[in-house]
Amino acid sequence: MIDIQHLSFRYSKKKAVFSDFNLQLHENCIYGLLGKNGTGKSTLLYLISGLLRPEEGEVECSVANGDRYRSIDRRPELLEQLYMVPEEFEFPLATLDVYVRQNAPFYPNFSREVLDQCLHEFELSADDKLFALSMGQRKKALISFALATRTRYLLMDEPTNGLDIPSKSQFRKVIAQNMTDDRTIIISTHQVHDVESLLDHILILSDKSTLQLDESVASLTERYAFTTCQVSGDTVTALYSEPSPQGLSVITPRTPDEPETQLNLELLFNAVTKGALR
Amino acid sequence: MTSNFSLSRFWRLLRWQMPGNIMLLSFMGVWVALFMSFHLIDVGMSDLNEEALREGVRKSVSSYWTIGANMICIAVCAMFSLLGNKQTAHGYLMLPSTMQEKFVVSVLLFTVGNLILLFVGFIVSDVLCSCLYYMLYPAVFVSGLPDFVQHLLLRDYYVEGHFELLAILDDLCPLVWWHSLCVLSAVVIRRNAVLFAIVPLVLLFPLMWLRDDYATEMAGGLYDSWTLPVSVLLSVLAAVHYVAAYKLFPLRTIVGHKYLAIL
Repeated sequence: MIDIQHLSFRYSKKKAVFSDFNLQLHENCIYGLLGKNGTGKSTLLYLISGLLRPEEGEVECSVANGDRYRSIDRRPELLEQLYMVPEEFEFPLATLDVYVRQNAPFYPNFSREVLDQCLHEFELSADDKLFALSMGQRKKALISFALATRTRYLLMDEPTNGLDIPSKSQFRKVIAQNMTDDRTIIISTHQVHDVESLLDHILILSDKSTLQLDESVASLTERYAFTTCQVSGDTVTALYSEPSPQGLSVITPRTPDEPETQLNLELLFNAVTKGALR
Repeated sequence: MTSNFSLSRFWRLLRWQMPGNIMLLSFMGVWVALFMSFHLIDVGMSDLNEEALREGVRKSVSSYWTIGANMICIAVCAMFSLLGNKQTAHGYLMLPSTMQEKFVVSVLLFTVGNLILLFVGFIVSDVLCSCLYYMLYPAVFVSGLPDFVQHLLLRDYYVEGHFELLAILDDLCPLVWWHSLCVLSAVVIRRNAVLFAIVPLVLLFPLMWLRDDYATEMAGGLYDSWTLPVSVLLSVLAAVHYVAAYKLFPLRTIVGHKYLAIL
């Protein structure tokens, strides 16, 4: 579990990004971290990784044997159980195979089998020269490596940025294949359609970097119906609606006898950030 | 909980860091070797008798050591260049090893690694220049290697059957002090750490020059009475710098103050 308690953070003398922020993230769950630009999504991932020092409060992560470590201490026992795929990164001037040989020994649960499976899925080879790959291919290589580390915590910052259309479904496939009971995956993204079907839990950060929504997808689809209708008269009971090419996309309260609908993440996000849903 | 230092993680980290820094280290080695080659070639072209040639080579080796030692200190300022931008800093800081291990590996890599490259650079330039001298003066074989080894074994300080401790301290302590200052600068200063390390040296240079001047004039008086306290002071300062750098390094994060890396 990742336990964030009374977290406060600011960059230099700028206004606080987080102030008395609390959050708990549990195992066996894929979290979608959403928010407008500048709300602190990447900052939150950096704070969880221990790459930034909180002004107050702390982030603690538990490892397999039950021990808890403060992220900012950057203990190897935690770092070998925590991997972050940043939005921008640099690879060395080497082949993917060399990169793997240099980095894999740091991760005790590293699986070459998982790596090969992910690379195969993404149509990459371990012999590929990293410096000769496109940005999207490099991202796929890093995602493959990240999944192969089989760390307990996997944080991803805009993982689908730069991926082509087939790669986005390949991404969903490899994530789903490599999700395990003891794993926690946090995906921060603006590309909501790319990950919509993957997520178990939605976190939405407000402009003030507080949590505007912290709810499971199961609970959301149980409470709300996400539909499209043609006539504006149908929107009487709608909690939120917005025009779409098919007519109107609406969120309505769902009654127990109605069938569950699929979550429309973009619609949910707009509804939450405009204050229509709480 | 395991300790702050594990030998297996240390070796793993060293193997990880070496390829990434080899270009930076090689650049220094090549630079110093080039200087040595030019110097030796100049000696070979200008001195036409064997004794003058040997004396020229001996002086060149001495300058090579002085310049090499200072270059090592300057190179140390760049040992945390990986933390210079977010992309590379992320990969480095997230590596499963302690910050103490990262610190020790970097200091050793940039100090011992540079020393090895300094040696390799010297051998290359010495072989090249020995060949050149042989072409110019076929009857004479001149190599700087014996002088180089003599410097390495501190033989210059071995007088009348014993080592001149004060003379060793006088040469070594300022160098260790400057090395420690460079290590501290590399930890604390985000960009241009070398400038921060050079400024105190530039400010102290007139003092050192005056001291050397007086020392020569007073032949033994000031030299003997000042060497020990100054050496002790520099050693204490060096120890403070090393400890401060070691303690402050874990405070480094991925984003920091524009100039001070630990804020």
